[in-house]
Amino acid sequence: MNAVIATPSSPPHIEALQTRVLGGVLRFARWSPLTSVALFLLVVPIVLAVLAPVIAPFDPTLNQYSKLVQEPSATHIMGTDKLGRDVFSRLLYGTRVSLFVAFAAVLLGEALGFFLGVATAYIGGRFDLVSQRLVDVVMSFPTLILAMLLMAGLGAGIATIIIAIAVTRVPGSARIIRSVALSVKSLPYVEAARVVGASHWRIMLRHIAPQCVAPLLVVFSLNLGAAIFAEAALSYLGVGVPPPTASLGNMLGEQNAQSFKPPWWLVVYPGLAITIIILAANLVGDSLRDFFDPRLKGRGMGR
Amino acid sequence: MQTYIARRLLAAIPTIFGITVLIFLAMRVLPGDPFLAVGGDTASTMRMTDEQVQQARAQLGLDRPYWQQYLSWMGDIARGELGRSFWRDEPVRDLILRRAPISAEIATLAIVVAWFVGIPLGVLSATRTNTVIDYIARVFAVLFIAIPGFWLSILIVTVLVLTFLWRPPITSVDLWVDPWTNLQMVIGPGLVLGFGIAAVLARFSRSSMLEVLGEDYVRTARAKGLAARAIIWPHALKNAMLPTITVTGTAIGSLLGGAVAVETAFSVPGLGLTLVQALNERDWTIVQNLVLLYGVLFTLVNLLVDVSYSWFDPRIRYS
Repeated sequence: MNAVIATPSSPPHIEALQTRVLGGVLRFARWSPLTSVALFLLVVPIVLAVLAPVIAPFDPTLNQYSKLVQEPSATHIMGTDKLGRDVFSRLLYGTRVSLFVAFAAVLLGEALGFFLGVATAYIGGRFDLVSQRLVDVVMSFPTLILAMLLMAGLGAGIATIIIAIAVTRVPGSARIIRSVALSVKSLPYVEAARVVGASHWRIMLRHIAPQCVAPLLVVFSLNLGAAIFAEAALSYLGVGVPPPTASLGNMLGEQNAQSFKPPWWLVVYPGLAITIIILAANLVGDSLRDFFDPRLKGRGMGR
Repeated sequence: MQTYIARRLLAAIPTIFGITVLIFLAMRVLPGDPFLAVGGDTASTMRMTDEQVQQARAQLGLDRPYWQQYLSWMGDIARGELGRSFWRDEPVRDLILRRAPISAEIATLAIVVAWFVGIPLGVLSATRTNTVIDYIARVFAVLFIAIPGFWLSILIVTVLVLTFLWRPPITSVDLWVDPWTNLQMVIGPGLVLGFGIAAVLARFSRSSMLEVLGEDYVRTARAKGLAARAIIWPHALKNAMLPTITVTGTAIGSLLGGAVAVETAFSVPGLGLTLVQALNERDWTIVQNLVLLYGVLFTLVNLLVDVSYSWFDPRIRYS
């Protein structure tokens, strides 16, 4: 989709949209210091996750049986877990896995929702009606329950958790895109394209789809927060990223709440990381939405 | 009003049918085979010989064609039996009936907490914008929307054990048998989930309250000299409540899902913990019926929200 926008031969309205978005981003940075802090909080985990192999002092899956469940110390700054693995290293790699899962799931889910939304709006008729009922069905599950159901069907794993979370992101995106595409569809230039004899595919992809990208970018960050939560919860419950691979969620699941003297460092650090990422993603998402769509200002999002 | 409710109820039927089909497809047609993990090379906890797997499949009716399996499931539901748990050898209906009350208590407590904390906080925050109260309310909302309930629960359990050597009881006791023990079990999950929803409610009631306070009729009320209290409660709050109802509806969705993880963290034997155990034991009879229960519950909640919304705002009925 980006390629379409960047083509020099883009119609003028797309260039206008492009400058609007670019100018918007610049003004946005000066507009809200809180958002800048949130962006910073979001970028730091991403950088740490990317650099995990460089920063991590230990192999995240290396068991050291001489150092089981040790409190934080100079060598293991966040302590070790029940298998003697370095918690700090696991946290870095876990953030990497969790962020990867969340980004991939949101991209996949929004892309599917995007095409479904544009197609249903453009084709309309019975196809639209049936798709809407399907979206209703998917939406009548609590998101976490739906993801658990899909994980039961697909089996635990990184690819499957990405698919499961992506599916929970489809209906919302499809609804948003459908409403935008419906309003774009009735604009004079789409009619003009049809009169000139453009094919349905061309109208959908070149004339309607580009106008629908912005609304998805706006909710990307909010979806990211929801996806991080979903990954954490699923992996915590044992139906997500399978061990020994570290993820922020399964690190919490591995510590055993039943033990008599629970090691606090196994609880505090992964949870803090999850909270900070969700907090930052939500704050960034809220400001993005307030900025691009002031009508929705102040409307928070639940999980 | 009756015709509206009837229309909505009729519209829910195809949705619930769709829910059953989706669950069935997810459980049977998706590539993960329940017995692959038990038998075969990838066995993790238990091993079964190929013959045992065949036997178990036949016992569960998994060797029949899909449409027969689906119809027999529908038959089970129509008879109110829901099939038998594979590992526990107990009717799923009994299991659900035994474990539902505590989840219902937790959900009720959570919603009560959410309303009594969230709405006043949102109203205070809207009527005293940019004061300390407003600031605290907004930080509370942003923070509790972000903190995962299950992590907060693990944290609470850990702190309680480390400092007071106390943990919530883990065996289920009915409210009317031993209210004190029962309360100890539900208070933690109820508060954690309640505060999570309260944060969302506080946020929404603040923004919708601000919107209403800017309306003409509020200005008129103020101009004719009504006291602030007489404006806020009867004039503004009633109208500001509308969006709040919708939010409570969506919040119940996150409550149903979130409760699964929170119950697990507190080891409260409710429906959520049952679902997690069934998933990990691959007890598909329990999983499919519990997920169906969650889907139907959520559909009914949404229905209730729509109906109550149209009761508060009659314009909706006629559109």
